[in-house]
Amino acid sequence: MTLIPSDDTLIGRAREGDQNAFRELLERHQQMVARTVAGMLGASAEVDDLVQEVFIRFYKTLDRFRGDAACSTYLTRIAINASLDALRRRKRMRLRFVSRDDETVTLPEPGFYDTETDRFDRAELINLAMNKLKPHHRAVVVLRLVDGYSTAEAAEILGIPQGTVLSRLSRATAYLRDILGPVLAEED
Amino acid sequence: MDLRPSSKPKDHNLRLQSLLRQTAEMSAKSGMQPFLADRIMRRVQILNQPEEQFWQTLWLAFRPVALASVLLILGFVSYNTFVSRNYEVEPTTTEIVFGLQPLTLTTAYSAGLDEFSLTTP
Repeated sequence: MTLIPSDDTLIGRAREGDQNAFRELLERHQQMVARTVAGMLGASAEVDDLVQEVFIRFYKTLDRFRGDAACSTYLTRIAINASLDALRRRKRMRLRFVSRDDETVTLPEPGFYDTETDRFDRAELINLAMNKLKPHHRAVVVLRLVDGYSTAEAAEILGIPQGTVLSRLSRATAYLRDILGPVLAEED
Repeated sequence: MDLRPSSKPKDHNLRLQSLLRQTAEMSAKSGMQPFLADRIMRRVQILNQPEEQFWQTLWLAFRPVALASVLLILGFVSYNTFVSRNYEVEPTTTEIVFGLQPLTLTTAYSAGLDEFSLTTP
């Protein structure tokens, strides 16, 4: 029987220069990091670059990882911070070149999404709705609803009080429910 | 008339959560290029040998210049050695390599009239 090494064991080996251990960590967590980054940025070519960036930052800070939190939580924190930086850069670029603030989300009628291919349009609409959220609200939605962290964990990752997480989540979900009403009503 | 208790807000929250997850998964799949692990590991390897990488890059960039310089120097040394064979006085190794005329009492005081003709009225 082969024992699967824990994340902490792999981190210890990676610190000592074992690149295979780091690769195993990378393969273990890459989907989770990609989902977090994609939740923050939406469907974008930036996702791939940012996931790479997250793991490079992780590698550079391996010595600083004390094991207080799970490896996945630590990676999620790096992913959220990197995504917030990317969103800030994106906003600066947008302000410099073109204003997309006037972009409106056109909502479909209930029952519009009947076929499999329409799921892509639905994903686009959800991404648009997420883009309308403020970055810090989006981070709370991604952590709580997409990644499934608890309120306490989300608060720790973002470095904010739990009450702030709850209020941001409440406001963000109310907005999303409002804007995505027809999509949510499909299966009622 | 439907008399079931309304559970729409809760259903909507669950459905919203499920849609957000599906969308994030789809966006992640569409945004990722193949061989992510390989690409990251290549960057990690470069991070591990920054100094070696730097000198390697420098050597690769300047290799043609370095080779041409070595050939030029060897050419000059060969030429100087060839020319120094005709000197009457045996030159030292330094004089041969740098192509210097051997300095003797004779050569130091043997300035001919031709050399003074331009400066002496």
